[in-house]
Amino acid sequence: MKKLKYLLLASILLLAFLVAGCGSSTKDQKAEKKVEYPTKPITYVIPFDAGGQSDIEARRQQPLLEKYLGQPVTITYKPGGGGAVGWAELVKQKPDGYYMAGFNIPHIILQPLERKDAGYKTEEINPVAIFQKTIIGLAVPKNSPYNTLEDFIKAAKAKPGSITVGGSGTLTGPHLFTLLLEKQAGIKLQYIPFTGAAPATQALLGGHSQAMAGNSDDLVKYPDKIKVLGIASADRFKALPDVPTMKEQGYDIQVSVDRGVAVPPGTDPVIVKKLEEAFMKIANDENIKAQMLKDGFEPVAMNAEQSKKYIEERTKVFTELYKQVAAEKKQ
Amino acid sequence: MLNSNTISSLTFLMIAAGAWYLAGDFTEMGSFFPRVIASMLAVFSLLQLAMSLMHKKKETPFAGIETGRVVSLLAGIATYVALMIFVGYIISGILFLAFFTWYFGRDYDQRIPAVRALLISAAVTAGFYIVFYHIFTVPLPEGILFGG
Amino acid sequence: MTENMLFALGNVLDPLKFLLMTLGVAGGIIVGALPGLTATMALALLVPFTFAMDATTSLMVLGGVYVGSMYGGCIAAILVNTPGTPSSIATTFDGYPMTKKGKAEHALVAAAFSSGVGGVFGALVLLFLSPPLAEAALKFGPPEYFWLAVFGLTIIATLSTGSVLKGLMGGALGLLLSTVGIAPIGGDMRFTFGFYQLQAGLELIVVLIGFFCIPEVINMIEKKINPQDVATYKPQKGVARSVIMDLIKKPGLLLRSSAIGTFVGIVPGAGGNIASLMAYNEAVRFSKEKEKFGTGIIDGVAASESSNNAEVGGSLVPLLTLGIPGAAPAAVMLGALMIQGMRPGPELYTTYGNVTYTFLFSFVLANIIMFVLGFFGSRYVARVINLPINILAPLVVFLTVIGSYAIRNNMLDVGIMVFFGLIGYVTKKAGFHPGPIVLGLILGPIAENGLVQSMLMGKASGSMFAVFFTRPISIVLILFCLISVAVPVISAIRARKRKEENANA
Repeated sequence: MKKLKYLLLASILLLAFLVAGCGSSTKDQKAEKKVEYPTKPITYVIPFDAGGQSDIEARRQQPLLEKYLGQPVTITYKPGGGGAVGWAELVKQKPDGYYMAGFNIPHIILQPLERKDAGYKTEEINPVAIFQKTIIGLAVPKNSPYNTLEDFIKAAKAKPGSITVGGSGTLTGPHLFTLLLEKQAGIKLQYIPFTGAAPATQALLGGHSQAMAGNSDDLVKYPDKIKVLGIASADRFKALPDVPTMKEQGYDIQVSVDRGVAVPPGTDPVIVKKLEEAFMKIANDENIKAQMLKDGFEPVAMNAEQSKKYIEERTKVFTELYKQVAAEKKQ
Repeated sequence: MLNSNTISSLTFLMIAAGAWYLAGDFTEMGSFFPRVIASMLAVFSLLQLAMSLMHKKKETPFAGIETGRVVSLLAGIATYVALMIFVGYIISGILFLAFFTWYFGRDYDQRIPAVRALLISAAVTAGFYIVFYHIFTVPLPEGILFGG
Repeated sequence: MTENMLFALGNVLDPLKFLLMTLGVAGGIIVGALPGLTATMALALLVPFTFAMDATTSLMVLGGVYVGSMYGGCIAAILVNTPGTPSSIATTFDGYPMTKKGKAEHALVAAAFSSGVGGVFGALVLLFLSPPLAEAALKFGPPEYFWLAVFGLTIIATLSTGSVLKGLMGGALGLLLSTVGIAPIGGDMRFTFGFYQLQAGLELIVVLIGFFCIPEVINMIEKKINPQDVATYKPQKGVARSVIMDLIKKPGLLLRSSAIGTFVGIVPGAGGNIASLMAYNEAVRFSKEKEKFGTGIIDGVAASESSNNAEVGGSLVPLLTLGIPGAAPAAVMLGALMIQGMRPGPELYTTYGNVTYTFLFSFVLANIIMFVLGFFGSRYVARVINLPINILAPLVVFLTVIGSYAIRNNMLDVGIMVFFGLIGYVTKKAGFHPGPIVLGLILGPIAENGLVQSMLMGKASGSMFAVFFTRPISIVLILFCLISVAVPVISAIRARKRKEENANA
């Protein structure tokens, strides 16, 4: 008797799975023919660790995306290689609109330039929208002798290579910022890459690095511990209205880390359009915009077309800069 | 006949040499640490090599092992992983569990019938599918054949 | 402050919140017990749900999950030698041998009790000492991290059973393996052999599962199974009481391990895995019966588990005070705080005092709940090992395969796990303990980052010597390293002398 019950249970479970498995695959084929989209849950891949900025942003969007798209949106993580592993997987996925991934600029531009085999090419990242900017700024501890960018540059000129600037990673937004500042001000700094924004901030607060090229969300977090000398945005940053831009101070430096979402290359434009609409609605949501600003991000709303153009434009700028850096390294 | 210590120290020495060589392509900062470690590994391996040559003793680390059983399990795991890529988590899981439950079950006096092994495996696979896929939203492999 | 605390006390005892937190702890234990599911993943998964809850409730649930998952890791470690989370590596050293001796319940109860003690210790430190300790954590710069890693590597001496030289070889191999992937400085792709997935480096848990678990499974079946030889668990009366009485008699061990765990937690970037290994090492160092470690004694399990649970409280110290997460799961907690509109820093203790103190109290309570669940659950969980080998062995392989896949949704990781499993089996037969290899893998990135960043600092300041050897905390750590290396050598020489004297006499 007991045996029978056991057998029954097992076979029911097995059956349930086979049905569930078949169900999803048939729906899949339908979607490709008639573009009834979306008809099943969508996977939203974060190519970074859980709890990071990209994750927080996606978690913020998740409930609204589910509301606008009418399907569950599952967030999963494929971290590694500064995002490269996740993007390499993205471009190999079936372009059916059920797999999308967050992407970051300048990462998707610099990684394929720098690495022999990053696993993807910049043009394979098929953007749906860009919704957030993290602006890079230069910060020093509160007790630092430098009160303005001018002080800082003067000191760097007096003793080339003696001022340490911490930042997250090599050839990332903060590193590019430092390189541009060195070039335009004609100074030499000692950039120290850390394994993320948090350790870089920690090193600045602990006085282990003299300055930090930091993300705006970290810069707004410590008003009583750090001084922000300049910020690399076009206009003054709303969350830090008293901080002058780099441009105001005579340096044409605009560096930000831009976050967006992309689908595999070759995705049906109708599908892209649907996703784009949902993301744009969220990006223009006043409530979401206010939250982002409070967290130290700049809300933006670029649609697929604009995003594509923006990536192309940035690619040109960064490729140029990368070539110069590489040439200097060889000397 | 080489003893196991000689073999292991030679293997480690080769790894150290390989790492040193490959690090030649890296930038100065990227190659520094791996090369320091590779040198340390080489020194330790050489010491071990010297010791193993001085104190030659017969070692039989794999004595008393039924190689066939170990190899069949390893081959089974390899097949399982390959199968998972093609037919996905569910089918490969059921087959793997069922086969080895039956295969190693032959050691017991009361052998397990193949059908029962299959059912137990199906239940286990299904249970963990629910935990991983439905509760923790981990996308388990669907298999290339089924469009994964 | 007292007002906030009183309010918090009322909040913690709210039945609904209490129930939700208990569920959180229970869920966390399951997550921790299954290799491949991590506290970080479980917490991230819960974050959207916390939108719908008020700040205190959501933080209580998240805290419960965090605490539970740290304990849960010990279950797989004790029963099948698989660290469910990296934090329970050291638990396998004595926990699994205990299971083999038929003392699985002893080990599980010891783990529950010491986890509870460690967790409450960490929570109390978090409650009362956060601000000064967070300031101290900031004193840790690149040179200090480098020396901390070097000090950690001295544990190799304890971990290498038999030959220290083999331990050193294993440790160096582990350090070398840790360099696979993108270089932290310079950005090179190192040792990726054309696999783009390897840009991410080797995932610790994947290698751990391979090295610890696969060899054990092969051991189970390498000879014809003889049901008489297989370790089983038979429920006995009074096990739990006697184990706890035994541990209460060793307050030094528990307190020392908890303090080490809390300290390691406070230093951002060093996690529960390092905490448990260091506490284990010190337990061996201070013990009068060093040779018994590794053969299955309660002290080993207690040291590891009390420290990795104390680490949880510690990792929240820099998080709540400075907004710097001490460990990966703490980073997700930070995200949850932000979504609730709270900013880490002094504000948390003033403007949001009610919420913060509720959270801190609930954290103490979560640890007690965890102990109660672990205490009563042990005798049921221990029955897992009574499964016949022909079911248990394939089941464990099955779990390691999906576990190593689930951690990063990466099929290559499964291959890597199996590969290292095979290597682990062969090297273990050749006398290499997996401990030092894994230790090298854990400490490698910390050592490399610290070393190279310090060199850049030295280049800027003009004096490498000053950067490496003159900073106060560095000097202390260097002294620790020297003592750690010298003491065993001296005692070995003394022992030899005594032997000679005895022989002469």
